[in-house]
Amino acid sequence: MKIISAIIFSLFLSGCATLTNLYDSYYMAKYDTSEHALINVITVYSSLAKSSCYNDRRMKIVSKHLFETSTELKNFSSHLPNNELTIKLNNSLHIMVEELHTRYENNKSVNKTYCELKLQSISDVASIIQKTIAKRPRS
Amino acid sequence: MTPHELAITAQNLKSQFDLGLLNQSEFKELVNNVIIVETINNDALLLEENIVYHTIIDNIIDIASALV
Repeated sequence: MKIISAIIFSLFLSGCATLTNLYDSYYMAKYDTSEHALINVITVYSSLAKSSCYNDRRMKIVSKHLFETSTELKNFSSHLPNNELTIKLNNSLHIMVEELHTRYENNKSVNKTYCELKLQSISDVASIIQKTIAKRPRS
Repeated sequence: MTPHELAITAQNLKSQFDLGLLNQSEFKELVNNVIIVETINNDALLLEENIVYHTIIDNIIDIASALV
């Protein structure tokens, strides 16, 4: 009897989880052109900036621009309803961009290898997020 | 990324550190970033799964509406 109750209870719980999941999926935030445009700027800019890694002064400007765009994206997406997963993704990206920005703001010189690897990571992550955001339902 | 690929990435970073191309704080930050990238990858997969569910529900509703 206990086993049957346990099975029924576990089925009930998993059923609730599936229903919640389906509800979240159906009412998820739709595709947003502004959000897509902001993540596109970060993808393109971080990819192109790798050639400027030899120049710290130029990279300081680039990292500031990336930080501003990332902050704008974080703020914009955090106010869209039913957008929790994208908010999580954008927050993680923002942490990486902020690290780059802080390093160029606080240090006189930054290693070229660090700059290239960091921008590669940012570019990869932004590209993953962009691909996912672009697939969101239009209506 | 498989555990093997993760190990290779970490080893590459360690080599750059040993060669003096990265300082300690940069090395630590980049290793931490490898973990962040993996987390983002997993979250992106979850979001894609939700998008697929949404499409399936939409199609079911379309078919049901056509039948009524």
